Amino acid sequence: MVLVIIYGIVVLCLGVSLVYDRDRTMKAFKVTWMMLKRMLPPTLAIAGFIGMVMGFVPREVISHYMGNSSGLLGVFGAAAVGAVAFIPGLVAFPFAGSLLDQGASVMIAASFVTTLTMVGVVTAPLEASELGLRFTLWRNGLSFVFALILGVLVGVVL
Amino acid sequence: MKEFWKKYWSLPAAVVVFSMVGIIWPGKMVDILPETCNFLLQVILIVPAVLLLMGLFEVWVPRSLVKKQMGSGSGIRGIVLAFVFGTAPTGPLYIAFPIAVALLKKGARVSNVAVFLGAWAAAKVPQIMVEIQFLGPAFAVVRLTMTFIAIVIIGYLVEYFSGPANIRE
Repeated sequence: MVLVIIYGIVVLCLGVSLVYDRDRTMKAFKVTWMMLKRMLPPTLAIAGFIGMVMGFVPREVISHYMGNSSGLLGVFGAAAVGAVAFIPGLVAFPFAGSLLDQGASVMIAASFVTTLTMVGVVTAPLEASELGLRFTLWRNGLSFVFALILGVLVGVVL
Repeated sequence: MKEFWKKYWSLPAAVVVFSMVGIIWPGKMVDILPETCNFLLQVILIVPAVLLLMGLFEVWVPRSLVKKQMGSGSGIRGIVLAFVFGTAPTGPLYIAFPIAVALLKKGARVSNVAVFLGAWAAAKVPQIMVEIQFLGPAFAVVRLTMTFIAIVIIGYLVEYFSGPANIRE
């Protein structure tokens, strides 16, 4: 269903863009191709990683360490991994989805994707050089704390 | 060449690890390969379409427009604008840092800039569609609602703690 909506929007936008400006649309394809090229290596790496997790780690182990029984420590761990990992957001969601399917808890998935998108340890030096160290530390630190709270709350609601 | 390896080191690393696993535990490949292919298939079905949407946005709505519109924003208008531009289908967070700097130089409030970065990171429309697809609508709605609230609170707290004077060089 979501796929149908996305493809509908894409076809519509592409059509309008083509009608108004052919050259610009071609430029959009070029930009897209550049982004795709950048995303491909980490995506393939994660695909391999997922396969190995599924192949080697039994379901019970995942649901034990990442399930509801893992509690706050599990949420903290997931948030920490999300903060450090440098995975494109678009690939992180299917990754979190696979973990959910394997028995990970909703809290873990929520705090993981939240820190993954909002906290960037890898990009922090860049952020600090542009926006200052204090801003960077507070923004990332607060985002991390809120991701923990949010993860627990999402788990409580769902 | 060095640049190339810096950018794409994860791919050869993955291939090496993957082949080693295949050599040491060939039997396990029966479990691993289908999972890997299944994941790739799911991603391939959705990601190129989303990226094309981002590509189209990039050529039709230049970043200079974002800077121009956000510079004047303050108060509720500023927060709303920060969300609107943050939710646009654009690239990863680090692309937004230079824009954030430009916004600050133009006199945008620190809290609005922090909200802008938060929305850019967490609330992009195509990213939301991907979240719904893979984590379900209930999960996405609950998480995103809380994220929106958190982003605004974080914005004000960042301004309170880091102060406007310390940000600009």
